Formats: sequence, structure tokens, C-alpha cells
Amino acid sequence: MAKRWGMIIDLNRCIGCQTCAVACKIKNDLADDVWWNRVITVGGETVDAVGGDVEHPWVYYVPLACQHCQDPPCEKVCPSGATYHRDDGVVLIDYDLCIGCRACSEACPYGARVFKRSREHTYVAFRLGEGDVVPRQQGINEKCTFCVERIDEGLTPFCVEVCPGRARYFGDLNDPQSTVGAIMAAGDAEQLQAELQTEPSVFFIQPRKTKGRPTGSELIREGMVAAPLE
Amino acid sequence: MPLKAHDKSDIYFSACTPNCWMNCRLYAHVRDGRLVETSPAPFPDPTYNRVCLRGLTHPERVYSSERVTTPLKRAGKRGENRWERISWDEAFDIVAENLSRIRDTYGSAAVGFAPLSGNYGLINGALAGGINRFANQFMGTQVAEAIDMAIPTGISQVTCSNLGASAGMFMGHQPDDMRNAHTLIVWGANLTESQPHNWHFIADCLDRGGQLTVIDPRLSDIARRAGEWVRVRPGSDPALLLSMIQVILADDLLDHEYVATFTVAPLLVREDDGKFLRESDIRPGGSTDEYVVLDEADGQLKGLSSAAKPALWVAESVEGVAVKSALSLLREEAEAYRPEEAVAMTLVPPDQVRRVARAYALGRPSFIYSGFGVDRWDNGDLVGRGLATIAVLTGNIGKPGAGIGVMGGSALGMAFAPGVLDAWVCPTGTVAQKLNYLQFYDAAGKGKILQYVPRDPGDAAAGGGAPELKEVPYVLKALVVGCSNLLSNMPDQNRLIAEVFSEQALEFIVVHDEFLTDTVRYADVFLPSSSWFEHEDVVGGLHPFLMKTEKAIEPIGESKSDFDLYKGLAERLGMGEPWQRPVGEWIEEVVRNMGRAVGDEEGVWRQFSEHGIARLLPEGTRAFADNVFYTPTGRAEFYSETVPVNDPVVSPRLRLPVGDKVKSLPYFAPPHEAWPGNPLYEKYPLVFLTLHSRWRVHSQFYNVPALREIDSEPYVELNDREIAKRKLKSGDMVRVFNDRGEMVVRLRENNANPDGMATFSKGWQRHQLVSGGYQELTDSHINRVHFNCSFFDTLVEVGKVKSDTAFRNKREREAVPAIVAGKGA
Repeated sequence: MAKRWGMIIDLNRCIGCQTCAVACKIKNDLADDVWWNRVITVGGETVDAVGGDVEHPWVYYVPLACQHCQDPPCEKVCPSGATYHRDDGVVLIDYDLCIGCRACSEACPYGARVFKRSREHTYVAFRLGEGDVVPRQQGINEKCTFCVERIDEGLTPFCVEVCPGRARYFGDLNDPQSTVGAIMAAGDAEQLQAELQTEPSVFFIQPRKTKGRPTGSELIREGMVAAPLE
Repeated sequence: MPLKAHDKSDIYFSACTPNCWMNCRLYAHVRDGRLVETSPAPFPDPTYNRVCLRGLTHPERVYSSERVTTPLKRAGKRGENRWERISWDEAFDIVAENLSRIRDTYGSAAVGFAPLSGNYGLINGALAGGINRFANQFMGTQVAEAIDMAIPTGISQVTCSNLGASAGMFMGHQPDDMRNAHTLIVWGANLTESQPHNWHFIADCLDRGGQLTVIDPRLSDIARRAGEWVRVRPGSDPALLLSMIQVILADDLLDHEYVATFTVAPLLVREDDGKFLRESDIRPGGSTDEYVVLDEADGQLKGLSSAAKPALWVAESVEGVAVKSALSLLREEAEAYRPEEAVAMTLVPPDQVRRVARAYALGRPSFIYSGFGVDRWDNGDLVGRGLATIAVLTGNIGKPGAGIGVMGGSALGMAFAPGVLDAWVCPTGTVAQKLNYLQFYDAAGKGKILQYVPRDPGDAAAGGGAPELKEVPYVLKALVVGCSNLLSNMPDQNRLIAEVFSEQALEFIVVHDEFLTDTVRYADVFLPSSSWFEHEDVVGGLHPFLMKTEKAIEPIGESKSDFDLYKGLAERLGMGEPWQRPVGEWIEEVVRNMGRAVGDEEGVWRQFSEHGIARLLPEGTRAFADNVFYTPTGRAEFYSETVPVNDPVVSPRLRLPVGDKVKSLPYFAPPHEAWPGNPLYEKYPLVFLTLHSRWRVHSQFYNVPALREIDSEPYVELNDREIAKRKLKSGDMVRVFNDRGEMVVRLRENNANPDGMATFSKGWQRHQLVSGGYQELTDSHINRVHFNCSFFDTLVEVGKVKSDTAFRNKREREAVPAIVAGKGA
């Protein structure tokens, strides 16, 4: 069977520490205010604030980036043909073809696509990261690439390597021998908004249920997370 | 030499070395001479591979536009942020001249050296680095030990008081042992924020079926993962522990064999003087070293070593001698804290206390991760004492998955061990006089301190009654600050600024740092320090490994490493001789010393030089695995005849006899300030906690752009009920205040907080706030047992910003030095 790269995130192990988000930002040399990978606080209104009332507070986190859908709605609406997916399931953007129209931002149910408004980061005067990531020009849309440069070299995406909670797993979803394959076989992992049938390649092990607490999928449906970034 | 991982960049060994104490091993990636990335480097045991969000942002710190990379001389008033740019030559001249003048006028101890915890590098850091070495050589005063000391003082009381009051800190297990626990109690620690690197061990424990209890007044991130979240009243933790002790004793959940064999439980205590009954008390000519117990086998009093079955419960006179067993005395003390009684203090439902106590006692192995949230209280030592007591009563100590604390068996702990690094850090055999940080306020401000003066000056441990607390002169006239932002991290900021950092108190202040911190603003001379990537060093962490850190890039601007800085200063003062060997040789010396301390000098050095990392202590290293306790009785002492004091001048030898302020048994004393009985509560009804968050390590990382994009401004948090009560709205600018000071920050709703609590994520600098500072609110009173800062033992009120509020920090708004003279003015 063809290879299908996929990621599983165990929300019981995710502590919302934002290490993955910061790792992504530095590794991919993201511009000011651009984040390909955000850690959403599910609970209160602001980062790390809890939901519920004082007697029954609750909170958890959902790291959210491109879900690398097998039937990607972003690709369908892209007027320039910039967005495409590879045979191994990785959804990518040809930055030379992107015209920055942001139709894909509208189409993406996960708010994963980010418009590169500013030219570069203003903090340092040179590129951060190993320098192997394809540079993006101002005025295009960008997003998580599953660290394509790394996975093509046999490494895992950087967010998987750095996760302090060991909450992320990456591998070939079609390989039952792989860790991700085994977790899939156990049936514990769910896609976000699976009913939209975009077939994401990112799966989540939902937090152990607490009575009355909505799941990540339910909250996204209600528009409580994944608000468009613009 | 760089390691070539691939051809994209050069890769060097490195590490992140701040005071989260995790000290992660890193690779420093360098391209075109610039640090472009830091990534996690492998440990020999991959379970320790880790990094966190902060450790990935180093390029943004190293090349920050706020970095100050030239020496500066003050050109305005202290704190005014007006500077003249000067050369290193001139800077060294000014510092040397002032230090000599003050030494010649007042004596060398009038020059204080104040490292805090900004770097754990052993050559360039605050533990045994350049500043400590220079202070020892200079015979100055080294300001030390006033944070993280309360809990260890209490733990030491029970398990290792002979090693000093703070020894309990490093007498624990390695963190990976938490996986082996069945019942895990996290007490007053939000480790998923403050030490996220340790979380995955707990996650593994839970995946294996372990049960997590978190004791915290807030729904901290770790609390929401707990099967049992105990929402204790802030500051009542010692009472909750007594409540658990009551349940353990009343329901007989003891580990009988352990208690009888390894604790003072069966030892008899004389009712008249509270001392243990000795053989010499019952038999003429009997030994004064032999403790007496009641032998259940024959009902006779006899020496411990000859008793067949020492009785645990003895509550009435035996053979006409008025005695009780230590265990019976503990039961009497704890009786007042039955869960039904204690709930009035702790707010913890009695059912829950019983559940938690039973699970801890019976669901063995049980482990306690005691955090430093409970350490920041005047009664913090009593929490440590209670924790160690429940551990020894249930035999949950020194066994796989059963212990207290995860700082044991660590390379960092080894570096703290007395004497290990003397060859490096005491080059001339002389040592600095140590002075507690809180005592330092009085020394600098008033020229005198209250000091325990032992009756026998030759032997502080000698008996003869209580040492006297006497006022003694202590002159401090100059201060050298390095690896420290003490104005942002020590309590009572207004007092510090007015009394300590005034020109009347300290005639001369020199600070070396990378940024314009709260403390740097009060310097007369500023010296630019190189970052961890700009010099070579060796460092341990809260893991068993000693790590090499290489010089990956050239120092930015005119920055210098601490070694080079103090070498330059020593040479100016004619003290340069011990600084002439190259740093590499000293690194080898340090590594070999550490190796020798663990009995494998050559092996450790070989690993280190070949692989850039060396394991010091084997997996499974656990304190008290041999059930040897370092106490006067040699047993775990939940009952003691004397109480050790954590004053660096006299510790570990000074012990206080039992009296009004110190007791033989674990007990409850209310917090100093933040407790309902205090009349101040009427005026300031909110307990104010300055939390460790994931966004900073103390104040370090305060200006990292990537982190500030997510955590963009300071805020105080209240729950919705407290906000409504004050007719405020989430998002309002508010004033947080008490009699000591204030700060003006945004208000944010967070229902994680119980009623009566305000929280603030610490580390923001004054210039990042609209007005005031969070440390203006905290209190600098001294507890004369643990001598620890009680940051959380603080009451405040939150209110609307008055229209006439002076936005005091306006003057301080600049994040970088204002150069008004010299080059670049």
C-alpha cells in the first residue's frame, strides 16, 4: 500500500506548553506574528485560562496546524494551482504559483492557513533555522508542511522531536507495524471534524472525558477555536 | 570543534542553563558564524532527551535588539537609565578602584557578591562560577540561600538534619523513578508549566495505571490531569498534612515494620524535658547514646539494641518514669486535626482527606513531587516536615517509586555538595563570608543584622541552651551582581530600592548581564556578559549528566564571559595569579573533581572528553535506599530534640532547642500574613501568588519576541466572582496594591483561581508594566528557622485605576540603555 504520512497527537499528554509552536516558528523561519502551529486553549477566552465556573473549572489544549487532508478543500478552491498534495499525503503550496488570494484560508475548516503579511521577522536580521526550508515571499499563504525537508531525509517533523510530553507520533498510517499504525488499529484516535470528510492525516487521542466537557471537534464546530487568523 | 551533522550548518555541544534546573542538552546550530537554531541534543539515556519552548528561542535572545554589549557608566541618578558608554579598560579601573577603596576602608567583607541563579554553568555561572571564585579569593561577602529553602529545611528535619538544614533538597530520587509509582502526589507544584520536562515521566506513570493526586488551591494545568484534585486553602498545607497524619495513625495505615525499625516511633520521650529517654536515665552507668524503648516481649524498659520487639504505642508511665513513645506523641498532636476539625482551616472535605491519606498509605509505592509553591510561605518548612513524616510513617521513602522529590541523583546536586569543587572555586584557600539574602537587606540598609550567636563560639553545635539572637554589626558598602536580577526576584522591591540600592547604603554597585534588567538600572557600572553560546563551560542539571558546552559563536559586541571578566578584574587588583590557566584546564579540573566525588574520575573524564557528556550517577540512585538517615538518632525523626536552622553563617551546625517558635513534632503555624486571622485581611482580602509560568524562567526570557507574541502582556488573574464583586471587567487596567506597593496591569478572568486569590505570572520587568512592579507587593520578613523568602505569603487588593494614579514607570519605559555620553551618545 502507498505510504501515507500521518500524525497522532495524544491530548492527554499535551500540556499546552507551546514548545511545538515555538519550534515550528524558529525552524521554519516564520515572519512576525505568523504561526503555522498554534496551541489552542480549549476552555477560557485567553491562552491558558480555564472554562467552566469556579466550582467546576476545566481546560485542555489542542495543537492545531495543517491537517494534511487527503481530500483537501484548500486545494479545490486554489485558483492558481499552487496547492497540491503528494502521493504520500503531504499537502504543500508551490509558493511561486500562490497569488495570495486567500481563498484557501476561507475553505480550510481548521484555520490552518496563514497569510504572510509582513516581509520577514524583525527580531534578527538573518534567517533562523537550518536554512533548508524553502523561503516564502511576502503576500502569499503558507502553512505547516509536516517539515517536508526533514521527513524526506528520514527525520520526524520538528514538533514531534521536541514535544516534552512525548504527545506526538508520526509515521506511515498505512503501515500497521508503525507506532501510528498500531494506535490507529487500537481505534483510539479521531480526526477533527471527521464528518466534513476531508480525511485529515492528523488524528487526536481525545482527553479522558470529563462530564459536560465538549470535545475539540464539537468546539471547532461551534466556532470556538480555529477562528480565521486574519 | 564543531560536530558536522550535515552540510547545512555547524553544530556544537551546548545546553540551556537557567534556573528551571532542567538544564537541557542542546545542539547549537551555527551558519555564517551566527547561532540560527537550538535543538535538543541526545542524552546517553534518551528518556532525558528534552527541550522546551524557551530553550528553542536562544537565537532571538542572543541577537536581541535589547542586548547591551558594551560597558556603561551611570550618567544620571541610580535607576534613571542615563548612561555613558565606556571602554573595558575604564570599566575595570572604576570597579577595581572602588572595590579596593571599600576593602581598605571597611574590610573585604564589606564588598558583597550577589549571584542568584541566572546560569548554572560551573565556570561562568552562579553556583560555583567566576563570581563565587572571585568572591572567595577577595574574601568578600557572598549573599546566598533565601529561595527554595523552606521545604528542604522541613524535610531535612526528619531525614537528614546532620547534613544541614537544606540538605533535603537533593536527597530525593531521579525523576524517571516517578514512572514506578502507583500513587503520585504533586503537592504545590505546577510542573507542567514550571518543569515541563518532568511531565512525561508522570504521563508514563498514568499510562501504566498510576493514580495522580494534585494538591493546589488553583486548577493548575497539572491539577486538571489529576484523578483527585485537592483544593486546599492557600497556606493551610501543614494542617492538611497533620490531618493526613491523623488518618494514617487513627486508621492504622502505618508500615509497622518500617516505622519500628527505621524511625523514632518507638523511642520514649521524657515528659519532663521532652528529650529521648536514654539508658543513662534509667540505670546508673547506662549509656547516654543508647535510646530506651519498651520491649513488648517482656514489658521491660531497655536499650533499643537489646529490645526484641519495641512497642510503638506507649502513652503512660512505665516503671514510674513519665514517658510516651514518639509515635504516641505524634498521635496526640495530630488528634486536633481530625479531618472533620481541620476542614475549617484547610477547606478540604473530610472524605477527600481520608481518601487521599488511604491511597497514599496503602496504594504503594507512593511518591511525592513537592514543589516550590508551598515553599514560598512562612510556614513552608512545616509543609516539608509533614511531607517527610507521612513518607516515613508509610515506608514510602528510598524505594523504587516511593520517595520525596526528584532532585536526587543529579549532576546539579553533586555540584552543590560541599567541597567537591573547591579546587576550582577556592583557588587561594580563602572563602567568602556567607550572608543570607534577607539578612543582606538589613546589612546593607542598617549596617547590622540579627544573628544567632552560639553560646560556644568554637562549636556552634555545642549544647547549653538556645543560641542568642543578637544584633551584630554587618557592614556592606559595595555590591557585585552577576547571574542575578535580584531586584526583580527578591521581595519588597520598594524597600530594596530605597534602603539597599540607595547611595547612602551601597556606595558602589556593579552589575554584569546581557539586558537592561530592573537590577542593571541601579548599577553604577554595567559590564556586558556573553551568552551561554559565546564561551565554553561545563554544566549539570536535574538529571544525572554532566554536559560540555562549547563556544559556538564569538561574543557579541564587547561581551565577556564571567571567567574573562573576573580574570580581568583580578588582574587589576593584583590578584590575577589563580586566573592564568586556560579555561579548558579548569573545565577538566571540574569534571575530574565531580568524577572523583562519585568514585570514577577517569571514567567520567573519558566519557566527557569523548562524548561531550558523562553520566555521574547510575539509574535508580535514590536517597535513603539504605534506610540510613542523617539525623542525631540515625533514624527518621518526626520527633526531634532540636531543630536545624538554615542560616548560611551557622548551618549546618546550629540547632535550636525546642521552645515557643520551634517544636519537636510536625505542627501547624499560620502563615505570617496571608491568613484569615490577620486584621490586614479586611483591607487586603486576596492572597497574591507570583507564579512560575512557561513563559519565563524567573525573569529570564522576559524579552524574547516569539514568547511575547503569545504571552504579550502582564496581567493579574481573578475568578469571575471576585471580578464581579469589585465591579470590574476582564480586560480592565487595574491597580494591585497593599501597604508595601502596587502595580498597574490588565485584569484577566481565570476561574482556575479560588475565591480570595490573585495570581500573576512572574518575571515581567518594571518597564513592561504600566506602573509599579510585582515584587513591590511581596514581603521581606525573615523566618528565623528557614530564612526563606515567603513570596506567596502576601495579601493584596485589586481595584480600579484611579484617574490620578501616577503612571510611575513612564520614566522607566525604555527597554534599552539611554546613552547620554561617550561613544554613540
